[in-house]
Amino acid sequence: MVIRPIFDTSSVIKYRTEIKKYFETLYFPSMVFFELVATSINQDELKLYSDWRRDLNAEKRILSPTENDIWETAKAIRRLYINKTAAQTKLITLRTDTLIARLSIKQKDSFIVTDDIDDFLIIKREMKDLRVISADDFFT
Amino acid sequence: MSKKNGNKPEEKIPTGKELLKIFPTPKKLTPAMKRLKESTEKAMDALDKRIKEHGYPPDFRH
Repeated sequence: MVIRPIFDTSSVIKYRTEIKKYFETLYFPSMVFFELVATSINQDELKLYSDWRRDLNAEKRILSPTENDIWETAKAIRRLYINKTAAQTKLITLRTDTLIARLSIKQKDSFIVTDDIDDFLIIKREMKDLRVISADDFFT
Repeated sequence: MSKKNGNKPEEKIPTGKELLKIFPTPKKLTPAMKRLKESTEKAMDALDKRIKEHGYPPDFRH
């Protein structure tokens, strides 16, 4: 089975020139679109993300959380919180990443490429099946 | 072979180069694939231009 990359926001931004090579294989989380669109500066940029979204949607490659995904993700973060796996301030910053991790586990033919590997390794303690690789290792 | 979760073998995660070998871009793209390729390139070029002109977008996590 070929497994496909899911790039988190930090890797999309940092490796934007490389991402173009993977248009045929990637899955894309809707939360990354949220962050790109929310910080877009002008209408032209927004229009281009909109076109990309339309084409990825047509290929059924956009991944979005359901109510159950949000519920299960909250429970995973709760376990990290109760077990004092990471500082409380760190857990707050893991919300979106943990949702992306949940989507990746559900989408069995996928793995995450991230520039924040340490954060995903914290998440992996509660999501054992998570497959993740650092962007440095993936792109070099 | 390294193992995790009991007897479940750990699956190797491909690097980008390996992935492109497994999944090479076909020489002839369907119209849908061509559209997706173009829109991906344009979106990433827009991001590149945005960063050059206005700096990196804020990190939502901080």
